[in-house]
Amino acid sequence: MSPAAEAPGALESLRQQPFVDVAWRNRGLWVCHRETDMPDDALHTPGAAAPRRPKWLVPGLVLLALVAGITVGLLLRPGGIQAWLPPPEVEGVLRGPFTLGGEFELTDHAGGRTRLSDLRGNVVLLFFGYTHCPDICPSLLADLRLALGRLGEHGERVRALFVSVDPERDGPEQLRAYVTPFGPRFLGLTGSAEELAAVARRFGAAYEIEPHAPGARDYEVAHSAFTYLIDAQGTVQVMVRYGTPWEALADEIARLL
Amino acid sequence: MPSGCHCRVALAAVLLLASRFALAAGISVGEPWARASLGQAANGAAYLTLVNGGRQADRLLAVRAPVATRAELHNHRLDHGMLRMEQHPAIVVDAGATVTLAPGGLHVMLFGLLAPLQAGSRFPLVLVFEQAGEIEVSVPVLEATGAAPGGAHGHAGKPRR
Repeated sequence: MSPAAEAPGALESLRQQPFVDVAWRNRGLWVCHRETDMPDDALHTPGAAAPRRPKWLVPGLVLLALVAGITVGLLLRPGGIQAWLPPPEVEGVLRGPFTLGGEFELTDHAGGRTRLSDLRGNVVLLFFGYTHCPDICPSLLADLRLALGRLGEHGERVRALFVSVDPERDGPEQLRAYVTPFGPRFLGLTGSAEELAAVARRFGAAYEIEPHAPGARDYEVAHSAFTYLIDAQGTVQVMVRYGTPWEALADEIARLL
Repeated sequence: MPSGCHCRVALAAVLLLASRFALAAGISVGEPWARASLGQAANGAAYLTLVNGGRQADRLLAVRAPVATRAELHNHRLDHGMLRMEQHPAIVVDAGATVTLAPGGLHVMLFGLLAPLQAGSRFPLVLVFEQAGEIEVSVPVLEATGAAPGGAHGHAGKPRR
């Protein structure tokens, strides 16, 4: 008889062989190992039919694919891998922390005095403008309101400060009318020319009031247009250039909450 | 027969496209809007989109708005890190081009509003073009606190020459 013809018979007899599972200690590990008293070469008869595909292969691969899929899904979900990777670069967003800024005290739109430290515990959004500004200031205020809206109840711990650098025309009255339509989390601030110059300098903000005759009401004010994102401890963490989509602004605020 | 059929379909398509372009010839003004005034804010701004469907460039030379003491074309220029608003002499709209007036860029500046712009109201705005002449649009006033319409289709004003 040829070895090839013998093989099925040998395997058949192997199946009927009693076997013992022997546990033995090897390098500190208990290993289970199946022993038969069949000679090894009975399993590897030359020319024997190829060993059958193990029955666990297909379910095993399916299970592996499932586990891999779930793992990738968990990592890609917001707060998954994104939580420990640096956030993607966004045009117009500068991330610090910055050493500029710091404590200040100005007159608020209710006529009282407000310090930055009074808002400690909140994320503060600060920007410089003026109420005669018809374009940039109202659209930035609207953008901030949209960003706060998307943050939902987390947005409760955010305060937006609109600092007017035009003290000649903007008193608390004007600021109140300009800022309060955006909601209770918006605060208008102003002060004396000297106070404002000091605050702007501390934040690296620039502004320039167009020269005008005393009492004139129709001059313009050029101003730098960054929104400063200040964390709950009072540190400027992010500067966002005007024109950045409000969705990106909301993402930056959310990271500080 | 099939090739003749295709020719006719192609000819029809070309004629249809040509007629569409002909209809769009010249300047059209779309999606005008303005933000409602905040309090007694003295100034306002209006935004819109200019589309030149014609074969020659045109220029927007001036604007008139009865709601304001003075209306001007304005732009923002970055100057030493500051945004400086300045008057824009004229807005060129090349043949086939679209120019958008939007917050932070080109806009119609309304100086000395006679009354605050109320959300939900409309006001007339006359645009004076070098070639197309005067086009009047009706500008809807949107909530001050809302989003800019952006790419959304607003209430396009009907061009009137």
